[in-house]
Amino acid sequence: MASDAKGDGLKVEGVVAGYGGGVVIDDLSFAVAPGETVAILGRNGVGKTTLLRTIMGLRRPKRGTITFAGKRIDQREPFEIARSGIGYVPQGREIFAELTVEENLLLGNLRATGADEIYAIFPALAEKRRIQAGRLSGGQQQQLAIGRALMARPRLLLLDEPSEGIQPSVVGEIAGVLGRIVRESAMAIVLVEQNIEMALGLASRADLIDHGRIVASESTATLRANPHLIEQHMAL
Amino acid sequence: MDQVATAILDTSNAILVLMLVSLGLAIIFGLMNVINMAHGEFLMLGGYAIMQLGAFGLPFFVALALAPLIVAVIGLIVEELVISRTYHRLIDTILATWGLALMLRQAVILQYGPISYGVAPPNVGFVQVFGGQYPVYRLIVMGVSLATILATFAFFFATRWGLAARAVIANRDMAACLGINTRFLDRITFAFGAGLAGLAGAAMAPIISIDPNSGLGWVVPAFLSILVGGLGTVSGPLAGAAGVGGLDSLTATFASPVWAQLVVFTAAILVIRLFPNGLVSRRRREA
Amino acid sequence: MKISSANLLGLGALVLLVVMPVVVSSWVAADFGMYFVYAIFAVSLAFLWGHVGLLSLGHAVYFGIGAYAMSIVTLGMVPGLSWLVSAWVGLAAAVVLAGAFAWLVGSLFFAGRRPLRGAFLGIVTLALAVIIERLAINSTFLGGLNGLLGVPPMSLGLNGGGPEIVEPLAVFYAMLGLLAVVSALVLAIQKSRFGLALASVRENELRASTLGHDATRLKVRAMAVSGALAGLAGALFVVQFGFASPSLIGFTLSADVLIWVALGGRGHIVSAALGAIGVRYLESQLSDMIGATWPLALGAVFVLCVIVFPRGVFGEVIGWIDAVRALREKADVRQTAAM
Repeated sequence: MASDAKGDGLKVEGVVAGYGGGVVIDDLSFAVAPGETVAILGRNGVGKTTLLRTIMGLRRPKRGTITFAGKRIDQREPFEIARSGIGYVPQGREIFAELTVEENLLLGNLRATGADEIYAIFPALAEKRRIQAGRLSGGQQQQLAIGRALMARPRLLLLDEPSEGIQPSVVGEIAGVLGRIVRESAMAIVLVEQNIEMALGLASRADLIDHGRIVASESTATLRANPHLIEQHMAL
Repeated sequence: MDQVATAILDTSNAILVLMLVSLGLAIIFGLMNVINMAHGEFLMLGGYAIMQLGAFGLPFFVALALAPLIVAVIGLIVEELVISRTYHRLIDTILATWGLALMLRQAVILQYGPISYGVAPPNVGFVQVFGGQYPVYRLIVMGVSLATILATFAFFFATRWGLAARAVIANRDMAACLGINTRFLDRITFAFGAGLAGLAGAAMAPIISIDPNSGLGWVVPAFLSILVGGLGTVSGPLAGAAGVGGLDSLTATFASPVWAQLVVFTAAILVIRLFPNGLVSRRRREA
Repeated sequence: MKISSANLLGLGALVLLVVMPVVVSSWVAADFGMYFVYAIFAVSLAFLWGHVGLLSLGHAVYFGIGAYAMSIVTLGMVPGLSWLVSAWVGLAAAVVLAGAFAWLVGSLFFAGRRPLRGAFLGIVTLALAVIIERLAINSTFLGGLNGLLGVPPMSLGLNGGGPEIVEPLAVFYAMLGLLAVVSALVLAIQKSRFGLALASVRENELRASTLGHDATRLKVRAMAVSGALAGLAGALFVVQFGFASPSLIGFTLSADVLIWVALGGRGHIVSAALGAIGVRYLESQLSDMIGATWPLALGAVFVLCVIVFPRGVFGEVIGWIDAVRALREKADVRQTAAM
């Protein structure tokens, strides 16, 4: 793992979070260095989505600290966390269905003059820039959600199940694009995925989460060589 | 013939002013999820503001321009002190703004007494319309209202801030996750909504009387307009205001003012009951 | 059986109020007769709002109907039955008419797949109150803006006559007794199967209906119960106050009762009743001292309370009692364990 001596990257330490009185994330710690891609694997309902929502400030942690680029972000508002350089692609994509593709992209960065860079990455979106986003196919909506997050040139991208409900060919295209951006820009990624193949293809390390904690952290090479390690933690 | 023309003009006037009031209320609700029961009191404050500015010797139209700004600043203070502390608690926003309405009415009574005031209309005369006389000032009120409504539309659909506002209306959490400063937007929204009500109150001051309770008659019609038209769009409340304001004004003219409110409220309740989504909106918003 | 903290507070308050006339003058006691009526009104709203989760911003409608029904009967104004002046019939008419109207309103608002709820319900009930107030103002039968004057005090004879409840102390204890009975009745309703079903509708309407509860019918019945109690309060008000006017129906009283209940605490019958009594008492004390500043102060306190104590002042007190008792219990357990 890259050194955190300079304090950059994301660091989650001893975070407890949940809904109401219930605890979903229990004393969870992990870190992501700049340029690193980490997959978070685990069964349904073990707190993967809650973890991303907590990092994003949509849930206040009950305990623990979250730092990004050397600054505490766990008590900040979501918009401040976004502005500190974290992009978020939520589960279910949450694009603005009634706005056009271009408007969705501009919302990722209100100061941008245009969205040409994103159109270059995802050419399918360019043709549909004046179309209501709700009328795109699932794969295109996913591209839009990722493109929208990339508009602000984040240093860390949080992806929640980007392969959910879309065609394998589009999954491959998205993985290819993300891999290229990571190599070119040192953007880090936290990837929550059920699709093991995509997760292992993109990430250099996988953290296995169970009962609200990281129970194992392995390089993807190790996991690919020993698939039973994954099955042990994820009864898929 | 000329009676019909006058009725049409009066009705348009009523509709446009109610649109201003409803628009402010709807924007505050849509963006902030706040039900502002004190909206009528902001209208009332607009009336007192123009009256007070006139008493300071300012020309009428200068006062008309300043009054909504004063109310907007009051709105800004209220947002900071009260509204921002009741977010995510919809029913509590009703209670807090209800109490606020009581405070504003009473503060006005303490300052100006329980009596009603009048503001002299500017001396702009009458104009010949379809062979009858019609006060020019009422045309000015219509023009100001229409221009403000159009400007609001332009803001929402032709600026980046308007785009951000529409995103917040559609999905507040996601908008915040994209870095849109929801806190700033909330402040501006509440101040702007209050300002719209203040403008309506100031513009109508020469036509209606100004008293501590002059806002009460507006808040319920404005809410009904929003519910009739439907939430989630900017045009819904305007359509609702056209229906509510139009029916009210026409019933008052051709039947009796006594029954106008009864007819309108009953009709509105039935429409809301039959079309819980409103007549324009596509989506249901839980309230 | 273990008594709940809310009931403990209620019993404590009841004891204090029972002995209160010993230390205060009789005209203070007379004022409290009126406060107890307001408390019954507050209880009716707390049941609907706190227990069933239905926000009624126009609850004075039912209070007003009760007040007018009582006035019409005891003034001998029932068409064709001018000999009828019985306060008992008046009370019954107030309860039944207010309850029936609430039942009708509930049927209109809650029937069908998409019932009115939450804030929408609040606004529509407010509009309804404005309509009914308007009707009363324009009704010559109901005396228009002036209302109905000269309503006699509560008489115990079968059809008028008989002893009257006018003595301040008699009024005080009669109304306090009624408040206690109504509160106990509502608490019993809340504990009954009907009450539990209502609570499940409040928590999750969908789940309640999958458990076999007919949410619509439950809510309509709750409306009827609440309306009937508000009507009772209206009738008891008018025999003390002496006249019924449109202001008993509309916006102002609806706002007042909402403030009492929210300030006291909508979560419990006891806290809502104490809210009404407390606000009214403070109002009588403070409006002498600070005059017109009182409503401003009340508004400010109310806003502050919504922000800081969303459970209401007495709701908060009940919470503290709960916490203290829980601590004590823990200490007791430890002590027993040590022995």
